[in-house]
Amino acid sequence: MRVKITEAFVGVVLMVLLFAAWLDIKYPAEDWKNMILKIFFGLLVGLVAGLVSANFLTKKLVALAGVAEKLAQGDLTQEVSVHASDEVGLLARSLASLVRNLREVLGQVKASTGSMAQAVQSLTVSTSQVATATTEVAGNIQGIAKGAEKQAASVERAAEVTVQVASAASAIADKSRVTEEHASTSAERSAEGAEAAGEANAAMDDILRHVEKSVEQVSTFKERATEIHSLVEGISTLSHQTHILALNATIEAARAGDAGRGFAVVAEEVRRLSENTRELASQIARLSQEITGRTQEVVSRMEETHSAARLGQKRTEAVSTALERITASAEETKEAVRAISREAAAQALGTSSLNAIMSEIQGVATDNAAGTQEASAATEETTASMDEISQQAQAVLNESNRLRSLVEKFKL
Amino acid sequence: MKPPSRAELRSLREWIERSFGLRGEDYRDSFLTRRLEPRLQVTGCPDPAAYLKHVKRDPKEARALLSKLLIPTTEFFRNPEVFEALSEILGKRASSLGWKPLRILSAPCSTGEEALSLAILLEEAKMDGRIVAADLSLSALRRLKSGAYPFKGLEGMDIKQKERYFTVEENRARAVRRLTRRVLPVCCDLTRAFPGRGFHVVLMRNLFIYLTEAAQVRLLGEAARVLVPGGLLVLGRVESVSRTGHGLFKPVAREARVYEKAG
Repeated sequence: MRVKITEAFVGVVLMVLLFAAWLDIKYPAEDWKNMILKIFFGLLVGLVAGLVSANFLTKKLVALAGVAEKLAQGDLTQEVSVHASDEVGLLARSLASLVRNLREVLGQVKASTGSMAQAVQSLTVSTSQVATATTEVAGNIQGIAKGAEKQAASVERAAEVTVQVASAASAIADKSRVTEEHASTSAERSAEGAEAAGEANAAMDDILRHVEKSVEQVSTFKERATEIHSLVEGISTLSHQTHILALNATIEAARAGDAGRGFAVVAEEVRRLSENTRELASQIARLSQEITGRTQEVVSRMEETHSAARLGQKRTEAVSTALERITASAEETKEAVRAISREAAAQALGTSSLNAIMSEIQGVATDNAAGTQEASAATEETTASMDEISQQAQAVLNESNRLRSLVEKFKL
Repeated sequence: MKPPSRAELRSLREWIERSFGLRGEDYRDSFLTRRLEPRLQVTGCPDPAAYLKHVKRDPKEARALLSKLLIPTTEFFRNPEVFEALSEILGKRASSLGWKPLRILSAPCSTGEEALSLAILLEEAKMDGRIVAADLSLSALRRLKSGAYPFKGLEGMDIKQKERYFTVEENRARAVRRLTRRVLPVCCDLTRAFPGRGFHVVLMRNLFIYLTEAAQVRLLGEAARVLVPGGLLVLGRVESVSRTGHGLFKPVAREARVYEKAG
């Protein structure tokens, strides 16, 4: 069955040879014309036989060629309907299997392009979702960065303030040390002052005592002067009586005439003496009066001095009390300033550790800022990748569309 | 993934510097580690050492790693409150300090959305000015040059701005000429030096987040160098000069991270 065409060909050749042999026997070759005739007939018979057998074959081949033509146009719906057991049949079966396979493969390709387009579509959707999410993340990072920036600025300000506070605290500590010294000095000075005031008080006491004694002594002067005064009065009385006596003697002498002339001279002398005495007595009286007056004056001056000294004493007492109070409060001030000094020192210490904390916070803020930059870089890169993916997805979509349009040229 | 050791990171930094000219030591350990991880997974290298060997031999992988090191994330009017604050401050300063025309540096600009947002800001405020947009990535700058952006990036604008400043093409929007002519794209490595000087505003947003503190200090110095006295520096929303820039800058709008050059 498999070598039908060969067999037919061999048959045709045999028939030609047989015919030629038959011609040769029946009409033996006489000349070259006969020979040509024989050959011509032989060829004619062979041609007819070949045409007949070829026509038999081509019918099937034309049918197959029709199928192939339609296949070439992309129509895969063709059924190969040539049934034969020869080579043509073999070709037909091969063609049928080719069509089946092509139909199957292209069907699968068509389905694939469909699902590919879908996949790319959902990839695009996912990409845009990721892009949206990335934008949100970027927004959040920017928010954080804003916060970090603010934080850094605040911490910077706080650090500045802390430095100011620290320097103020140390200034306070310094000043309070000086103040403590001053307070200590003033305590000492006021104590000295109080002591001096006490001494002044004692001195005032002395003055008072002396003045009192002097007043006493001056008062005895007054008494003595009074005594002198009464003595002078006695002398005055005596001289007055002597004067009267002298007058009487003069009168008696005149009565006695010449005998009494000498006596009258004596009486006159006595009268003059009494007058001198009276004059002296009155001078003494004036002096003693003056002494009394002066003494009185001295006494009143001394009394003034006394009361002034007493006032002075009271004042110095007040000064002394005040100075004692000042001493006490200076002591208190000293204590208070010492406490302030201690507090200020503690504060200075505290601000220095506050400074450390501040710089720690500052470090964190700096780290945050660096972190947000890092995160921002990552989101930028992600966005770039997403754009790339979108482009690639678009390229894939384009390719799959091209493929589909190619596949769609086939009728399945 | 096993995190890379110090020696491996150092070797990576040296190689980055040799291959791309990037100052490797400026980038944080954590950033390099994060960037390394996906490349390890893609290439199937078991550890950082193996990956380093691999990337040194494979120029294609080297390009992939470089693209991983430049993070292009940006959008139009990103953090709108920053633009509002900046617009307000600029309105006052430009007239009082005679800043005309305004010179603004957007660094790094990535694909240029920030620079174009600034151009819109200038247009709306009717201010004369130009924006120098600097970045290391040529492909990012190419997009800025083309002015064409996918619709998705335009979400930060209101409908009027979109209509006024963009024309719609098949699947993207193209910035109009009067925006793009205000922007000059410049390719440069900002960790080396800033381009030009005499700027009134420098926007350096979301660059610090990838860099070490030493690099941040240096970049602040660079920003101060290229700014005019009283010029403004705008940082990203999580970045600040408080730790690294004492003396060089003082805050103008702390919330929006707008600072001015001191002295």
